[in-house]
Amino acid sequence: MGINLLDAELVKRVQAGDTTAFDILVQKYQHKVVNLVGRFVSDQAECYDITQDAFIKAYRAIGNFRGDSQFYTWLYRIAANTAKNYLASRARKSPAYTVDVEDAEHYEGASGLKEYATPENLLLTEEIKQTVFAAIEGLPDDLKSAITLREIEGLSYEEIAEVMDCPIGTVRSRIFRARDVIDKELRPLLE
Amino acid sequence: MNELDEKLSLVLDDYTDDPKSQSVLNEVIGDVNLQYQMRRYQMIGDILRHELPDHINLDLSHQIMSKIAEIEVTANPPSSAVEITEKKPGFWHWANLKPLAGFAVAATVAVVSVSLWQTISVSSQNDQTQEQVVSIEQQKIEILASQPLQINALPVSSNAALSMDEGTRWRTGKDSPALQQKLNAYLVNHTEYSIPMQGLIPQARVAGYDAQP
Repeated sequence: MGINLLDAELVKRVQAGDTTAFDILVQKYQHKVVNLVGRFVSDQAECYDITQDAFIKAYRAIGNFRGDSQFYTWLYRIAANTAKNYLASRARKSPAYTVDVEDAEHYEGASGLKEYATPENLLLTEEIKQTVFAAIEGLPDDLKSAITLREIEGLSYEEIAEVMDCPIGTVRSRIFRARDVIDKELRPLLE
Repeated sequence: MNELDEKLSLVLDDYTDDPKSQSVLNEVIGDVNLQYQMRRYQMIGDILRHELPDHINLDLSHQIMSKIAEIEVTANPPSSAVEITEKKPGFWHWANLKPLAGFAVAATVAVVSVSLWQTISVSSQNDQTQEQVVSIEQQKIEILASQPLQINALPVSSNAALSMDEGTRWRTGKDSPALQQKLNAYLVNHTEYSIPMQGLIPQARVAGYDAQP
């Protein structure tokens, strides 16, 4: 699949010392890793801390990645192990995790909590989702079908062309036009 | 619509090893705006698949890359930092001077040894020379002592038995000219280095050197 080739190319560039290539990998898989870690840890701040640690561990170990498996399965394994180790470590020193209310302002572990789990952040996240879904609903049927088959069903361009009974070039154009419309709605929220 | 944006969308879904895809990826890596656009395209997919977390952290990738940058700096400090903290060893560094210092110490020891040896050798030679001079002088004195008195100092009674031609002095001069020369030299030296005393004629002059016809 093309996705895997992109990952392999990015990994190769990271191994050659290109940190920007790793940044692209982080942006590509950050939400998946956060969701995976969220199955082990319910707290959002801890979840992001573990995700951060997992990516850093992956970066440190990427020199040993030989491509025998898919990059994301390798990354998920690192993330899962990082979360498990975190839980085991927290269980060993759970009494220290209790913080007085008066000390909470200065508690280092609460920084992530204050940063991520705010009502403003929750609202922003909801607004982003609603904007994307609203943009999808406003798309013409051919564009909506193309982007849905690609992103939700995970079909390749050839498979989409077969389903929609159109040339691959048309599929490519429809998927791009759908993304471009949604991107125009999404961009102001992220800037 | 930008043609590059469409290529970016294609690369995201269907990356191949062809030069066109690699060229697009190179442009993405070199352009922050294209990286943000790729990020938004990926976020659209995450939202459609319901993979976006309830609380998104828009700075997560930035935080991760900042941590990685710190790790990189710690593990591999930039060349300027290396120059500041670790100066490149120059010619005068101890590592370079160590063998030279060894040679210098060895050379100094050699020079001192030779000088001392020469000094000792010269002093021993001087001692030998002095001893030789003393022994020669002693021999001269012994020879002189063994010689009979000169004619002028002989008793008159003895003069009858000895003619002038058969005197000891002449016999000595005839038989051993070298001894005569040594004797004369001794007398001259003795006269030169003897402390003159008023009213007293040096013995050498008394011992005499008679004029010959």
